[in-house]
Amino acid sequence: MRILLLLSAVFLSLSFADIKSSLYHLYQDKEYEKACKEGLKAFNSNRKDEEFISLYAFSCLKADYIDRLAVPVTLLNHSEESRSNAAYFSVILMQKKLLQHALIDGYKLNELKLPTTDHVLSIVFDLYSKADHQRKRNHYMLKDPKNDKISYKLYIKNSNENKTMVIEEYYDTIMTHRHNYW
Amino acid sequence: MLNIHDLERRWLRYKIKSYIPLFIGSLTAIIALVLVLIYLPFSKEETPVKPKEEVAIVETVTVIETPTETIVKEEIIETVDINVPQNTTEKNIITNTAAEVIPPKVEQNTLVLKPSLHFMDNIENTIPTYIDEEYVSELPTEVNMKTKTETVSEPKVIQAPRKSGLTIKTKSSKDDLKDVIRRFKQNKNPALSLFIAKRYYADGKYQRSYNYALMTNEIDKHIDESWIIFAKSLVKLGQHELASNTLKTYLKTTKSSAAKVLLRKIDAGTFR
Repeated sequence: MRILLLLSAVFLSLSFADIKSSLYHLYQDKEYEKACKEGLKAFNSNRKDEEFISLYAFSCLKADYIDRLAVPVTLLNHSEESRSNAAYFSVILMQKKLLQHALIDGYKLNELKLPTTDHVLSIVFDLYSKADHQRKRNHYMLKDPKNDKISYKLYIKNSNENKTMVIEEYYDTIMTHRHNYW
Repeated sequence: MLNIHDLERRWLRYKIKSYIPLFIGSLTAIIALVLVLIYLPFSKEETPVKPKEEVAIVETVTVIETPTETIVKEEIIETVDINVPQNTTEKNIITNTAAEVIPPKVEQNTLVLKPSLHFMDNIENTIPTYIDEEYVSELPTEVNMKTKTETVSEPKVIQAPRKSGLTIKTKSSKDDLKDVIRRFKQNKNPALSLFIAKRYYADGKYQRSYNYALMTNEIDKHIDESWIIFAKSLVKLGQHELASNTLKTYLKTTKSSAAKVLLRKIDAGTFR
């Protein structure tokens, strides 16, 4: 019986190491969505491993699953690096929620002064909060101040009773990336 | 005799004329007061008037680097042309009437948060080697393949040595690659990374061959083969345009015939 327990413990620890390394390889291979989904499955059993949580959170961030950052934000506490990443994720999450609130309900963001990040949501948030809101628009074309050729299209898409916030990245006239945020 | 009626009329005109300045003055004062009362509550919300041609954006960015929490302040002064003419093609793509490019305009002092990915190094160190797991996951499939061939092919004596020979070959080559990757991590020799890129390309792992070719190019920009593997991997990953552009920029600095041939093939669509 003791041997069985010992063996199961060994296998369990090996499986934990496995999930982290497989998540790491998925992240390196830019399969962020898969990494996020795999991480979610193994999340509860690894919720004390901050490296795992960070990896999971960055995968979900890259896969545009922003709402999944909420739990990592609360769990990343122990190291300085974890806390700084938690702050980074929380800013992005907050900016996403505020942008949705502003676009759907007309909440004014002009007077808010928030920290920013290098993420596309933060860039769009900053540009939107500085934009002119005197008349209502179906969508906003926001120009990147650092590069004339880069612009962002921000709008709300209504589909199946859900309102999805969409950010499209343009280089010149070509759409390079579309982010859907639920 | 005095004309009293005429005198009275003239006196009335004189009197009216004397009151006119007072009347006009009080009227303008009332209008001004009314206007002030109407517009005073909204004047606070009005945004400053934009200059028509150019807006100078002054951003003071505070960057906080996570591990040491050092604060660096830098000032970025940029000039953005608001009246940039929009291309007609852009109008075709963005077909909504409300499409107006909105330029940023407000000065601000912002705190920039940056992600910290040092934990990735720790994870990399805890994982035995980068390709160990990959081959662990691949080996069983190979074994399965072999067992399948074994079950299909009945002759025992003739095929047995062939199979054992094959397994020895594959294992040794994988060990070699593992060893090469280990050596490359230690000494960053571009010849090693080029070898790895070639091997991955031959195995059909184009993302990895692209990565190693990129590393080779970063270490040494003048290795012809590395650029070719890089472009080929890009094509295999579906990035034809990027591959073509990369080769064009490379050909500006060199006269590589192999690169020219590959570029021609990519542009013609014969290399896919």
